[in-house]
Amino acid sequence: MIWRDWNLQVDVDQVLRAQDADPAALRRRRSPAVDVAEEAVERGARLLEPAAAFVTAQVEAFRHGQLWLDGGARLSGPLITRRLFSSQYLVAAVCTIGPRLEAEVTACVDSDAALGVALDGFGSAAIQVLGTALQAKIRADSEAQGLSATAPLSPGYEGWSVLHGQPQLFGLVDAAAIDVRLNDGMMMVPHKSISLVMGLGTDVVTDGDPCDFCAVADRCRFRETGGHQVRPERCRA
Amino acid sequence: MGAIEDLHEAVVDGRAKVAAAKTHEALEAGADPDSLLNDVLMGVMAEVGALFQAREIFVPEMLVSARAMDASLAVLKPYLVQDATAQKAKIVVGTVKGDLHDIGKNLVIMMLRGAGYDVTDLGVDVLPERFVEVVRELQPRVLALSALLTTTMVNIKPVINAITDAGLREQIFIIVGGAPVTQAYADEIGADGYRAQAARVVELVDGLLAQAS
Repeated sequence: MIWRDWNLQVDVDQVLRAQDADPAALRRRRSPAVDVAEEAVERGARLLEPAAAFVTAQVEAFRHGQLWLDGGARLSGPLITRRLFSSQYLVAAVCTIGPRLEAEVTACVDSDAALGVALDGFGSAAIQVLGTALQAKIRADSEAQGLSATAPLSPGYEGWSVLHGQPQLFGLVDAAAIDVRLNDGMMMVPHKSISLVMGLGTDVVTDGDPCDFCAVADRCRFRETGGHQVRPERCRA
Repeated sequence: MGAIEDLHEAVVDGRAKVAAAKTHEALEAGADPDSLLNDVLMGVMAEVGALFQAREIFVPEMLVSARAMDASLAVLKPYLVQDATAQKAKIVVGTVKGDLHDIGKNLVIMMLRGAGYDVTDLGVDVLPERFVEVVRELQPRVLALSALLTTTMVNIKPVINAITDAGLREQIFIIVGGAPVTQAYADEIGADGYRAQAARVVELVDGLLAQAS
């Protein structure tokens, strides 16, 4: 299934945080970098083409450390084992803000690095907003059916490597329908895209957030500046 | 405060229009253009780099400072004698095969160009053979390789191997950087240098080249 009807609202503070900056400190210093971020919000908003592709599959069994899905697909990895073992259904999704913003960043960065990097920050903030909205929609839909959802898991988290996880996930979702593909290094193109799975069920593990599974959480400047939206109170710890 | 002090402050604060106006003012007051470049602007950018390194300012602030320096430089350029704008050593920079990240690489390029180096940017997802081809053609003193992911940093070593196999390794310093790269990894793959922050790349390159001369 494809969703294209997203209304993404990205503000200046999110753009600054996506550049690892503390918005309050920049405003205190009256830095022109805030004006550049404002320009990036204005220009970037016109370049967004948000879309999400997702699929829901029934979990047939969990055996030998693998999640067996209806239709024969399997997911595996220590993180999958730990978090999804009690799921009745699996939602796999890919979302993107499209290629136009990235093209603008490339065009801009040589002539005006400050604006180019701010636009890149806008793109990072926008895909995070889209990812959060996508998770919220999956949760709302599952709750309507009386099911709970696990935390979202993405290839690249500890226990589910990019090289292992991305082919598994892209084998389930029709990401080509929203023009997202993997390159040889299993990176998504367009770059500002997110892939994730969530387990659904009546007795799933619902605690945890992406910072719990992230290999660089202890040195993440985005986290230090309060950038993550999922559970901001954790990020400011 | 005089125009030179105002120029200094405008560049640190990232105020491009003020920096351009104060450069005009300083020139009209008789300031030496070469001195404005070498003593004021280069000094300010080193100061900004040090502030960033000390985590007292953030990336966007460093970038608006660079923008203000460019505005000042645009005013200065017609007044500079040829030698003052002569660039330092050639450096080739690129993100290795499979990796599409370029923001960190672009910051490194900005710092190096700000310090006067002649930088060629090969972009992202660059194959080892392309690095060899450009190194052979341009004969740079330094090759800077970037990777942002653990899955792509393994593609740095094949570039070093390709440079070695082409008989070009002795003439060039190879430096590496990117989020997953560490000093230990740089040592393991035979790189000549590594820094965790883009702001420290100039210090690294200056040091390597000084050591070689």
